[in-house]
Amino acid sequence: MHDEDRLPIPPGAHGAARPDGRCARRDAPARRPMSTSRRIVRPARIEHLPELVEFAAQGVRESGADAQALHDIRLAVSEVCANIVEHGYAGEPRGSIAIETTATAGRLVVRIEDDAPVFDPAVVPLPDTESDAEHRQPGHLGWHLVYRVMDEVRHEPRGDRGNVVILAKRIGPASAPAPGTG
Amino acid sequence: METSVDQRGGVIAVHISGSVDGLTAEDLQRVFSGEVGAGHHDLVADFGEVDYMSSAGLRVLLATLKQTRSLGGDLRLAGPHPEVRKVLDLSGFTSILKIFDTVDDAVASFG
Repeated sequence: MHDEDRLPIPPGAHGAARPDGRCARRDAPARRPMSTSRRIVRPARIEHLPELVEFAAQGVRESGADAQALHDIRLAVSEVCANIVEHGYAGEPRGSIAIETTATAGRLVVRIEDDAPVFDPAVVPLPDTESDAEHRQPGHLGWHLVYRVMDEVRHEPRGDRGNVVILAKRIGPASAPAPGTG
Repeated sequence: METSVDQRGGVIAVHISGSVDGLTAEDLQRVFSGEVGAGHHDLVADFGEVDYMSSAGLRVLLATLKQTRSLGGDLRLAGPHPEVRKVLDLSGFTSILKIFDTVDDAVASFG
């Protein structure tokens, strides 16, 4: 039993994806580009992480993206959702996470919404990636990876409380086969 | 995520399949800690069947790496897919972790 309407998408919040015009030809202004959107809402509990990640992954597979894009989007969605559960709601029992994927030719956009206190990931410090093993500190790797594997990462507050994180990635045209790989 | 363990001489190979993420990393930590607690300080993490690893998995690798080295052992990685290797690289783990193409190579590296 899931409350599919708990996190409505605010008007105008689709601006980041700019799903129109990527493939549109200048001489065909009336043509509507093909795109597909899917949405899921689940309680913000860690046991729902696989389902949320798999939902995003399905959007990647349907878009025909390559293994690297599939991996990167799974990773990014996993990191963002785990952060929402662990730090955003910080143990609050009733929070939700909504994910919407929108695929158009050559680009996948994932919107992740929560009702947790506003948190801008841009303020997260850079991780320690250079110390030797003995002195290496493990913090801040999650958002670092999200920013590194996605082409676009954007945060929007949802009023006084709640966040929208928009992740976008170019997805290859059925991917050029790499030598020695299946 | 599923794990299985086999002993090869003095080296323990931990075979991992599935996703190492915020849900499963704790389970992996328990497996590693159990082996270290049993006196096994030379560990190989077989990543051949790992489809993705998040920062939660990286934290487990770092904790286990520090723990084994403090006891005179090591944690070495075998067979990560290119996508997982990229995560290790982006996180700076390729400079602190020995990575091998196969489990056999990783086990043999302990001499």
